[in-house]
Amino acid sequence: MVELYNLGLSESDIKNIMEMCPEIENLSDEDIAANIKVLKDIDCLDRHIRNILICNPFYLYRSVEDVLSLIKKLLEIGMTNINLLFDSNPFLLNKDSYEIQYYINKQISAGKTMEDIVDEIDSNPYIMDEIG
Amino acid sequence: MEEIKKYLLDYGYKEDEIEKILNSYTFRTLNYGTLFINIKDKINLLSNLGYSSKDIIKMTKTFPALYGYSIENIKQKLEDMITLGYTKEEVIKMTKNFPTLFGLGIGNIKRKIKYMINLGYNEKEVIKITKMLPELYGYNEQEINTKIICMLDLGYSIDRIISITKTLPAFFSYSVNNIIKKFNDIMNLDYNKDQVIKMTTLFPALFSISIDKLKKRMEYLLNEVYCKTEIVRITMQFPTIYGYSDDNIMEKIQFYKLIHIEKELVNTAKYLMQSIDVSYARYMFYKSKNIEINNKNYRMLFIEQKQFEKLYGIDKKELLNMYNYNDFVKEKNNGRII
Repeated sequence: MVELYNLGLSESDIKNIMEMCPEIENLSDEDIAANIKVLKDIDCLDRHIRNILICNPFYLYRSVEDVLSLIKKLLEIGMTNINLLFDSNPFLLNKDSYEIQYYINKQISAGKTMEDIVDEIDSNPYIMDEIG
Repeated sequence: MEEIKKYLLDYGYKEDEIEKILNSYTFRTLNYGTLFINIKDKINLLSNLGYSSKDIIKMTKTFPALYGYSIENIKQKLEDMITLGYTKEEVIKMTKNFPTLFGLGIGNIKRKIKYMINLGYNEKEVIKITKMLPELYGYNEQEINTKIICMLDLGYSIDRIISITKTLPAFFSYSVNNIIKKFNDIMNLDYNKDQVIKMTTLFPALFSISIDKLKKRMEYLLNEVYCKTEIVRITMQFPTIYGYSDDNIMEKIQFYKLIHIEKELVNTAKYLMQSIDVSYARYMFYKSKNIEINNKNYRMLFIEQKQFEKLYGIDKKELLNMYNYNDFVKEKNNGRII
């Protein structure tokens, strides 16, 4: 939990995080630090990371490899400033790269260009979860 | 027996933890020599596999029977899980959180995967959900069915249930009573049933956020600028507003109040998803072009990036570098106004 305090999270924030995701108690400081480092490496500021963890503490339970694979996929398709993308929709961090590809394939089948798809995700980071 | 206790104490166990392990059913029939070898062999194996002593103590406190499994058995379980689609690191992480996984037969696990596929998930989704919630393998189908029936009774479609649980696998760990209580608690914030279903489908984490936090968020919005009807309208369009950090919401609301467009967002609440960094940078850009943002043209702050670039020839990275929100905050603290 030291890493969470270092980010500037208050006692009340950490209490809310633990209520939402009690499994975090099983994570080591190294596990938590590794997931936070991934966010810092994509230029998330502390305030972005606080927002991400408060909204989506389940992110801390994700494997670093899966998150890096997701980030790689987003960069490959042309997304930029993904720190702000995750700040807008912290739950995007829980997606796997194959889910992004699946969404892209579906949109392309519907006639959209990659440029359109990237622009839509950038403007509405929740678009992949919108169901009828 | 004293030798075993000393060994375990030196390893890091407390006395009551040692009693629990030695008194567990697994070891009652073993002689002390065999017991000691079992424990030492398992500790060596688990350490070599990558578990720390802290992990091993925690796992065996929860599941003392782990010391009773053979080395071959433990290694085979790891291999079986890798064959199903997990990496070794994932299996180690899953078993740290849910050591009972070692006690589940691979046949049982495969049956659970098949059951989830029959509910409507695909195999990749099941693997993903169980990475986040390995305990799912320990729930019997009856337990899972009860939760799904509860959700169906509340008015959710099976598609919505699958969508919710894909985003929030932890949902499967909530009791039926908790699910119903949370649903009713949200309704008591002045939403009707359909509204709660819509909001929780859009933002499943609502099921995990404490009702106190939801109330505090509502109070903040009431105190700042909005009436109850407006808050319901905003949160129906964009329920994630309940999940963001206090700083995130306060920065956005304060900024939009400063530029007098906060009331416009009642009908276009989805704009609240836009990062304050982008909103600020675009506002300052328009200002530099003598374009005043007001309640008639405020949507210009939120146009799609492709359109913005086409109109003004500046990409997001460049824009954010030119008008840095952090610098504004520092200057604001020193008395600068926008």
